[in-house]
Amino acid sequence: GGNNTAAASPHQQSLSKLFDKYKDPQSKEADKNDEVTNIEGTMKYFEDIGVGLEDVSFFIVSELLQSPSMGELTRRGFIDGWSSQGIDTLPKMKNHILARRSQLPDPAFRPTFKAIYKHAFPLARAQGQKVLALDFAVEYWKILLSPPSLAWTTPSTAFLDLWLDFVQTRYRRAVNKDMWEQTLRFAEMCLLDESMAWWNEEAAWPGVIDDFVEFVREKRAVGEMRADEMDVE
Amino acid sequence: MTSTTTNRTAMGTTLPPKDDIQATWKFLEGGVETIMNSLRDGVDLKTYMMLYTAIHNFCTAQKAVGHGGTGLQSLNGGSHRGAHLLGEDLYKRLQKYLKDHLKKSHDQLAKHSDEAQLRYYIEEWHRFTTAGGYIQHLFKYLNRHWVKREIDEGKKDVYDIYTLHLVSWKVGMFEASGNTVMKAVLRLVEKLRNGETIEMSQIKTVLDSFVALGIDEADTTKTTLDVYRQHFEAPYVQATREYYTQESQAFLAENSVVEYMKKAERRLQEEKDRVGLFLISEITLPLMKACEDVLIKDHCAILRDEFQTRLNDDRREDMKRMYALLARIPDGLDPLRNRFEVHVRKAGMAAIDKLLEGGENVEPKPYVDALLAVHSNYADLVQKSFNGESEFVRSLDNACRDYVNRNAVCKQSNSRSPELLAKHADILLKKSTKSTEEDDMEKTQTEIMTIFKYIEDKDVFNKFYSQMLAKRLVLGTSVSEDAETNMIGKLKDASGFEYTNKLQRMLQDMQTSKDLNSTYSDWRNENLEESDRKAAVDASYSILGTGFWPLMPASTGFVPPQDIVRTYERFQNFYTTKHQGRKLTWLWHLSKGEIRANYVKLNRVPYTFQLSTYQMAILLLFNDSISVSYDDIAAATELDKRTLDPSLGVIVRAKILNAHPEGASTESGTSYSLNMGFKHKKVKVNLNVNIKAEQKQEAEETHKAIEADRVMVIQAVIVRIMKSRKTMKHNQLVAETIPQLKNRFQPKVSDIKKCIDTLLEKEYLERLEGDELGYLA
Repeated sequence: GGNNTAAASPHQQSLSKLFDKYKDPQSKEADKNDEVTNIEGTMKYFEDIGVGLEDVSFFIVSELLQSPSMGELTRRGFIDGWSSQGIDTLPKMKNHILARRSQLPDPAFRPTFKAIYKHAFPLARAQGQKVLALDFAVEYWKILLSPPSLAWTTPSTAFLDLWLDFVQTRYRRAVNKDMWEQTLRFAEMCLLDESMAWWNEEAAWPGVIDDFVEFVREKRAVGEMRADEMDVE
Repeated sequence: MTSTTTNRTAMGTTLPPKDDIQATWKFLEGGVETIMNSLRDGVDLKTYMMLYTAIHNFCTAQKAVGHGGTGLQSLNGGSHRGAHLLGEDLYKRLQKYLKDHLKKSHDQLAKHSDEAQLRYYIEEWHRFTTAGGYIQHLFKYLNRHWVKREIDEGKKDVYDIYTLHLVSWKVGMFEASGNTVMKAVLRLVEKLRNGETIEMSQIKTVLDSFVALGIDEADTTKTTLDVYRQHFEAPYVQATREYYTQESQAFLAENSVVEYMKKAERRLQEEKDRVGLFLISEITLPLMKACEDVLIKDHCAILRDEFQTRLNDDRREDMKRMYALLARIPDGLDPLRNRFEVHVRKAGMAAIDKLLEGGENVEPKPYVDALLAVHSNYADLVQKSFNGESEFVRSLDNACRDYVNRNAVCKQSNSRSPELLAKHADILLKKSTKSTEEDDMEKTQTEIMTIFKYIEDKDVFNKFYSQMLAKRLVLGTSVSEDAETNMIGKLKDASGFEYTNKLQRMLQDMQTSKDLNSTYSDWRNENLEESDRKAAVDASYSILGTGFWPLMPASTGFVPPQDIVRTYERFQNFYTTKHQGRKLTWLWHLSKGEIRANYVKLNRVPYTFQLSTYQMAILLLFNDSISVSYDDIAAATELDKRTLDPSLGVIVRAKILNAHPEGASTESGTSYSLNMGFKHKKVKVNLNVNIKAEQKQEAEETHKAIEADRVMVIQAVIVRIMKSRKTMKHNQLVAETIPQLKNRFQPKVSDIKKCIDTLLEKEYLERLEGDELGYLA
């Protein structure tokens, strides 16, 4: 809401001014709110608030500001995102992102984390594509599902490692939106109960998850055999 | 007894004063006594009439109210009912009389025991109830007035005179001794069961007396079966139960189960027959239930164990007997059906295991025959031993479905059964040296359908069948159109129009092509010069509708020989003027022809070579030169190596062409020349033979095509369901998808899930909260 009155409150006015610093000089839209940053502007902005491109905080900002694609911010997203947090200066922004970053594994923060994770898919996907290339997906999973973000691992099982191994050696295809989103749901379940006793073939999991469960069980069986051998010796 | 005569004399003279109860009863008592004790001596009409009149007079005597009542009157509290009170006097006195009479009878009864007592009870019962009939008549006036009025006013314990007899009997005889009499009855029945002769009518009389005593208190003119049930039926059934419990245990300890079954069968029949002889139909249900309980149910474990043995030894008579016995008890047959099902399944699996002992490569006919043999053996057993009962048929079907689809041969590949069955049908429907009699054709087709019914992957059968049908039709190897039509008709009956639609269209295309060829021939006669016609290649064409035929253009390139090009172009012109806008694609890999070899002869007759069009193109090159190199052949025909090599190979092996250098393989550098000294024992030489490698590749492609079809079908079903339901739980969608696919193939849950994934990706579906899926239009 409030898009047409982007510069209404004092916050919004100063945010709009701040945005002008990073905005693409070429971007001239009928609605001022549709104006965007270019890659240089975005990089500069991220640098100014201490966000590394290979760090999970990149996804935090992108979601908060509803970045439509990699390296692009809109004036509307910029103003709405920050004013919703009551923030309008670069140092405050930096602190806010740091605070969110430290909250990522916290179960109470989970709804926001889910939004960040989900937003990563449209963000990372190439223009006009429905799916995400596997190589990219692998990189993003590494960032989003390991510390300082939510760690997809349990005392017995390094799920993320197994998952990445599985998708690269067995699955080997591009990742669609459903698979991307179901992966997080599945990861959460694994964290609740690593035995995966809750899984059954009749449930709504995508086929790829079913295959992965099979894969994990195979690995576990082998692992147990090894453990047995060691006991004997 | 001695007083009878006296009384008779006394009453014969004059009627008593009508308002004197003492005198009246005294007068009547003599008559009643006579009827009761010496009815057989007879009562003369006059006496009878006087008795009747005395009662009438007494009842109609108009006495003033409150006028000098008798003791009885005052006892009954009041005199407001005038004349009717007099009726009561009579009634009470008769009642007392009956009671006293029965007291004496019962004293006598008690002196007897067992059969003598039974006899006495029956005699007395007859005498008493017969007398009751007469006395009822004698007291008709009392019945009609006083008794009727009392009953109408709701007075209990007042009965019409005959019923009064019954009630009195019940109190005086039955209540004291009914059960001991019944014991005598039961001993009699036991004797009968032990094979002795008894007087069955005695039992019947006791039963009838018990029924008669069941007076309905709500309406005393009627009877209920309560007394009978409690005092006859219950002990009778109980005794039966005890008798057969004991007998069956003793018998089984000494005899075989089969002998026991015969015995039980006989016993059940006897008991049933006895109902008609001396019991009433009401007893049938509880009695037979008791018999079945102790004769069958209590021994059903032994019977069932025996069933397995009988089944193993194929003892059909015994199984029939066992079926008949166990069918009589609730759920008696379920364990039999289960054992039968397991047995048939094992037999089916074993038959195929045995077949495989002869080698991994199973031929269609022995395979189908083995499947059939097991089925027909046990189908026959179901008819003969299990009365063709539908539940056993179902067990048979379950077992057959299992061994047809999951035997050792199917372990090689899931689709082996439908594939082999289709091949079996192909062999049947293909022209062969052995001609099939019409009856055999029908019989074998019916057998194919028997197995077809059990095939789960019907889509696989259809795919192979349609491919082989296409070959038969295009290559002209079908045994007859009738046989083809008949078989397709059977498949249609079993699986519906859609299943056979394409097959029928293929037959139609062949008919249409036949007509077209004759039209074309007419056209040629009208439009071509005679010389032209003679020079032309004699050809026939099959026009096959794209989409109905499981045929694809060959992957290899091909340049047909010039003679053939001229021939088909002429046809093409004719065809496209007739059907504008249609495009013809020639399926060269399925075309064939004959050429005459004028350079080599058998007894002055030139040889005829039957060839594929590819081979024809190769061989015709030798019209222009004696020797042609491999590379030139390849260049001229444009056939790829995979096609050229086997086609050429067959010609070389037949020694029509010689390879140079001799024995060289089909490859660049080899050259070929005509063998001018070619010899063969027949004039016609068939070189158009199927190539093994080709067949194998075809089968693989067929399997791939089936897989692809399945994905399409599953997706279509999912979309159809979701379109009508809009949103649905994931597992519910899977559950509803499965039955819709079952008549085509056995879908795997994982396959359905993969299709859902694909539809999610294609955005036909979306994932909603809580495992729900939504349809996106």
